[in-house]
Amino acid sequence: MPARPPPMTTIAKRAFGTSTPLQKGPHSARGAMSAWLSGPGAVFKQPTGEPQYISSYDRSTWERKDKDRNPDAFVQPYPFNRYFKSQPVLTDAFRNEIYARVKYRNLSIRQVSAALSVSIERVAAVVRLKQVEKEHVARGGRLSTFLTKALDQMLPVIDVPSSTDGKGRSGGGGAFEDIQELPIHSLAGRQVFVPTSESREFTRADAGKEFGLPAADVMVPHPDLVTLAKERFENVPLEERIVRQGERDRLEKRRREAENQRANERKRQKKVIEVGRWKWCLTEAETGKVGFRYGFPLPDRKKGHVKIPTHVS
Amino acid sequence: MRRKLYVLRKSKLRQSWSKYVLYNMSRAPQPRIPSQKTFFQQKWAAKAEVRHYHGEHLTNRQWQNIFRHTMKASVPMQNVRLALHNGSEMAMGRGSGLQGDEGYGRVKTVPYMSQLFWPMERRLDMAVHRAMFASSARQARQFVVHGFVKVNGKKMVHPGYMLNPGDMFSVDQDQVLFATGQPKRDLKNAEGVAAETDATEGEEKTEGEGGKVKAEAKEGEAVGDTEAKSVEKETEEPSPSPSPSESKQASTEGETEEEIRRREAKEKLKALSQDPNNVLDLTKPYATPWRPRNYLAPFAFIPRYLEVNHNTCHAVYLRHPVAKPGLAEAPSPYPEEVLQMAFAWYLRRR
Repeated sequence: MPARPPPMTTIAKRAFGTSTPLQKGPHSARGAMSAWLSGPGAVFKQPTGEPQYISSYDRSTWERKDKDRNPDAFVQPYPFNRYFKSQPVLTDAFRNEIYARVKYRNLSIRQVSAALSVSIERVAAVVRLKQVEKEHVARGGRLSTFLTKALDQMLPVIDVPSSTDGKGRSGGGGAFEDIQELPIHSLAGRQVFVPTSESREFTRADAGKEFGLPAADVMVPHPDLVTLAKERFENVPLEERIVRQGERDRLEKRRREAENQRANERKRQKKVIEVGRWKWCLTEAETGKVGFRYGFPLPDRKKGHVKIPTHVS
Repeated sequence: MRRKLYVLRKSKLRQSWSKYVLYNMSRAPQPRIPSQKTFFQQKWAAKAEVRHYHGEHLTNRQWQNIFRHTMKASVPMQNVRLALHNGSEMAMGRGSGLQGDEGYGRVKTVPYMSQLFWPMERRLDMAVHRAMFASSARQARQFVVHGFVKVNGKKMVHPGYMLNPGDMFSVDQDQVLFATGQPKRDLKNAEGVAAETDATEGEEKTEGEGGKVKAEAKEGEAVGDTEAKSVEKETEEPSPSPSPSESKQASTEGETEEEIRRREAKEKLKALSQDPNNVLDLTKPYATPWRPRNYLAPFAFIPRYLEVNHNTCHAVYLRHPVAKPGLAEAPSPYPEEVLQMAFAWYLRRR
């Protein structure tokens, strides 16, 4: 019987290890690494209750920098990219507060966003995520709360602001993010030369019209806050302002309800069948005008057709 | 894909939480563009440098197909300014406002070029890594390919799926805990912190449920050892598990603020094993009770375009990463000059 050939593959001793026990002397590259990891690098091994980035240390002496003198270094994960900062995340208590306000106090997402200074999309996402969490628990799933707790020890976090009364939002240091950020529209990317007379007052609305966009006052995520500020400068009494804001909220609510109704109507007209990962939305169609035609080749096996879906509904 | 990812001879940055990457980052020289070389060579060098980190497991063509020369940005607006002025004040005087740009204070530049890799961050595997669900971009890719990742509740096996604003993605919890937790290497690690905490709070452990499970999991003599130890401890000290507030009072003198914080963090980490969800389970692929892997803290950040819930390992891709005055949301370890040169490389024929 001939000797068995050596196996083509070897059984890995360590699944993902890249280290070999060879060349671990003090002068080898690996020796230098282990010396650094057990020396100045030891502070990075386990969380210390605050963000622990390499930039917050002097790279020659490995002493902690002065936090008052260069606070930016303490939130900069990459030492060479000063424009990327590790921004705080919401604590679990903050997320619960957002969820409670929307779910139990029936406040609109826009109101909660303005009151807590968290962007509209984020409030909506937090509510979605918390809803998923509740359903997960209801199904008997386990929560990895310990993972959240551990990450809180190494990420910059922001807790619920202490004075969160409905509308009176003072620009304190506890604001989570800037909620009045205007995304630059692609139409506004070009440069235009518009000659106007000197006597003409060329306002933001006029500028918007040149680009085919509404004025910035309207495009901003919270136009209501601009209106409120305007009314404050016009010395409108507080009661009157509250009444006006209530009226605006009511109109907004009605608009949203009408929109929902229209969407439901559209959904009702469609027939939806969910099978596994597929969701079939059936609509009325006439034969021969639309859809797959028998005997007509489908191009889906042709070269250059990307099969990765572009959206998941 | 290249076989060897982490090398020490040439320090390369990789999208990973490995200690090799940490060490390489600690000693890497400031990335510079060689100014004596030709423009083509400069672009080539910059492109080669940034591709060590960004989408290292992708072919050049895969990245070039999703490259966009347009960058997203947003401007912070002030309610008061919008309410007081209608915009015409910016054209007063000789056409640039009465005070010129000084009326707006020091305006920070918008680092558009640092946003070069924003389409890369739209990829599902990259988002999974950025949400801290996977320890590296490659592992994130593997999670997607192996079917552990869902997008909007549907299984998605394409790592190249480009997330749309509002998409919710989730990763199997066990896989996330495996990626972020201590590896299960030997029996000592498999038992987790339990062995360490034993000495301090022996009585709680042995009479609690966790103690029973642990006792089953361990070898007989090991149990005997720890029990003997805990008995010794009890006899030495009347209160083996001091409450956190008590210990704080006891040792606040002579400690700096940082030392106090570190001690508290250590206590909190120890308390992780007391979490009712964090139980000893030898069937898990990570060391149980779970505790964070080593050298995770220097890589820990969650960019603002994601909203992550680690309790269920779900995350929402809120919007595309944007550049703001003085801030770029797309994570990259490279300075703006290098990214700009790489941008110029990818811009050709476009």
